Amino acid sequence: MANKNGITYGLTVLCPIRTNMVQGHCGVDLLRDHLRALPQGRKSLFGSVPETHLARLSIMDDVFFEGTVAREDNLKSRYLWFNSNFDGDLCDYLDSMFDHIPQEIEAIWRHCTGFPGIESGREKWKQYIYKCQIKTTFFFAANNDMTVENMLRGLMLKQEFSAFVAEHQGKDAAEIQKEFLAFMETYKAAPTPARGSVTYQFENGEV
Amino acid sequence: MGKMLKLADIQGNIVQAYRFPLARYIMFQVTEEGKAREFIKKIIPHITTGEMWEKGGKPEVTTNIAFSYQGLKAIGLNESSLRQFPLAFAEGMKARAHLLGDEGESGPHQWDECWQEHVDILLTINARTVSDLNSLTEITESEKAHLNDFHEALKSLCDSTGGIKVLGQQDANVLFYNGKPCAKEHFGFDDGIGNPSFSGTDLATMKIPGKGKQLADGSWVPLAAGEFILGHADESQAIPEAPRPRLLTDNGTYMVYRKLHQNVASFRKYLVDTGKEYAKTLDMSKYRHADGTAAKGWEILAAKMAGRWLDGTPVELSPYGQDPSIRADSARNNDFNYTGDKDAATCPFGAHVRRTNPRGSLGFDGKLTSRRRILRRGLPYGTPTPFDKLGRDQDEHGIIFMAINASIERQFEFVQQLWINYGNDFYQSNDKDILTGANDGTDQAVIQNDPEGEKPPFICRNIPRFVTVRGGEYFFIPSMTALKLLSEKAVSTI
Repeated sequence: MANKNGITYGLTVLCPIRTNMVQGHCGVDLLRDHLRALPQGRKSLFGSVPETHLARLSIMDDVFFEGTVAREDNLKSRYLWFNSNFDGDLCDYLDSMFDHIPQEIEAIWRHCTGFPGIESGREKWKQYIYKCQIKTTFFFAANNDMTVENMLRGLMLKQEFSAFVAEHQGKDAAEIQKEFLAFMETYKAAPTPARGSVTYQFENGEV
Repeated sequence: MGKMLKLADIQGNIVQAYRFPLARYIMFQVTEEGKAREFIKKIIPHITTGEMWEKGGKPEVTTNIAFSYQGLKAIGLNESSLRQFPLAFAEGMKARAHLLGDEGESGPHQWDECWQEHVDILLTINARTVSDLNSLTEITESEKAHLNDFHEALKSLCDSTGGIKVLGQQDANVLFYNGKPCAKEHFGFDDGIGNPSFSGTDLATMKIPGKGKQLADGSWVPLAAGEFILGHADESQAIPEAPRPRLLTDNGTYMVYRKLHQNVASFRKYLVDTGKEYAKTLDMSKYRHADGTAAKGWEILAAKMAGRWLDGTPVELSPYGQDPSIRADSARNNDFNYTGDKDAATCPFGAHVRRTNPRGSLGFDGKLTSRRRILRRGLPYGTPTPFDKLGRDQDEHGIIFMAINASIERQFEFVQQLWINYGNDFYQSNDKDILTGANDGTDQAVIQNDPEGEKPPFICRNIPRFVTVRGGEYFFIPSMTALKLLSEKAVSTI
């Protein structure tokens, strides 16, 4: 499957950007300003779409031929390039985007030609993205065998467990076992760290 | 036999270490381009090359010269050549602080005064003591007479031409423990044992097992000269790109100069405190030095941190104690590759020498390691702390670390960033090197135990930073040919 690497889906979408002027501003400039101002890290809008591993939005202005003799071969339009790796299949992911970040979708894609608008409903949104999708082919997924949920819980376990080991070094085996059982209960009960986190500690409960 | 290096064109202390007990590093700034070149012209006849000395012909003093990027610019090197130097060298060490982990106390704003300005030229004087080194119990000022005399002559030369000013100077010398000169640094380890060997000479020292690269049949051969000398094929079998014209860079190389302060008291206190805990996880009856004495917990911990016992015996070959017979045998003391120690039960993954030279640990017959080697040419500075004393962190003691490589990015910076201050290549997550890493008192690191045994691995906790940076820069060491061209402003790409 050209768009799958392990259990991870790789989505590549190229959406032509509108060329008309909006209140004296060029669409591509408005979109670029909007993308530049998007929050990153924990506040990233894709943090709200829980299946997302990594996502990127950028603008492809044109293709440039490097070398001699220079050749003019321009794109017919500028494109919004949307790239995302996620768990599950594309249909569910687009549903998830529609459910979690409808206003954000509207704010970005309203600058693109043919975008039907969120008010036209989820099917129209999905059809639009399907139409703009290109095959990703060879893509890199840092973790192609785990869901985001599993990764975040795995990282939390790794961080907390290494602290547990260090704190319990040299203690009596029975005591370690007792505390380890309590540790595992805490781990199971602990909420999954938020998407975009950089530390993965138990958010509530003490071991 | 492959192509021979032209030793008379390569500056000294690169192909073969001088092994002098005394050094003085003088940092200059150029104040007037033309006069500075006049100074260079006059110093050229005194520059020591890499030519071999006849038996008994070792000089009393040697001199070498290196330039930072700012320095090359300041003496008038043409823009078209300057622009072709690699980014790391052009930016200089301060600009690379974040990448190198030179932050907090090690940050460039905390460095010694002379490094607050841009150092253009580094002049290195190495010298022997007046009396036979082995007859001495310490280094006195009078023993530095050769060094001081040459320095006085240099000052007159400098005064006569003008055009450069001294920003500072740094003395370094071998340390004396128990009244004897030795190869130890301030933490007490024998240092400088594992320097790589490379092709292009018929030196016997270049054929020592464990110092070059290992072939599939297990034999060791020297690395390609291009890993350390510009203008020669490297381990990728290509002659790397270099600034033009080739005469400017052929037979030259890059040197990383770092003044590394050692927090001796913190290190010793950590070893003693943590060593007691560590000993509880070991079957201490096994740990005996070759002379029959029991190895102490702190000694074993030190050995596991470094990958070598204090006397330099590799832990990989002698897991339970020091063995002077291995240490003294150059055919043995580097002859290992960790491939029989995949679980790191003998030498931990995070041990300093295993991190900085993983040998066969990373697979691919060691090829990944062969492109990350550096030649170390430094010396310690300051007075050593006797073994039975804790010493003080703040005393002026440390090591002048000088690493020579053909690519600062690919060799020194890679090792510093990814192997010392990160551990993923060795399954050590983001743990850092215990001895020299940018730890901050909250870091931890694992010392593996035998997976067949019943004892658990040991976690070193709350590791402070034992080594801090006090100054440094990236330098280019030109060939003798290039030095003459530079002094005459005769480098041209046209």
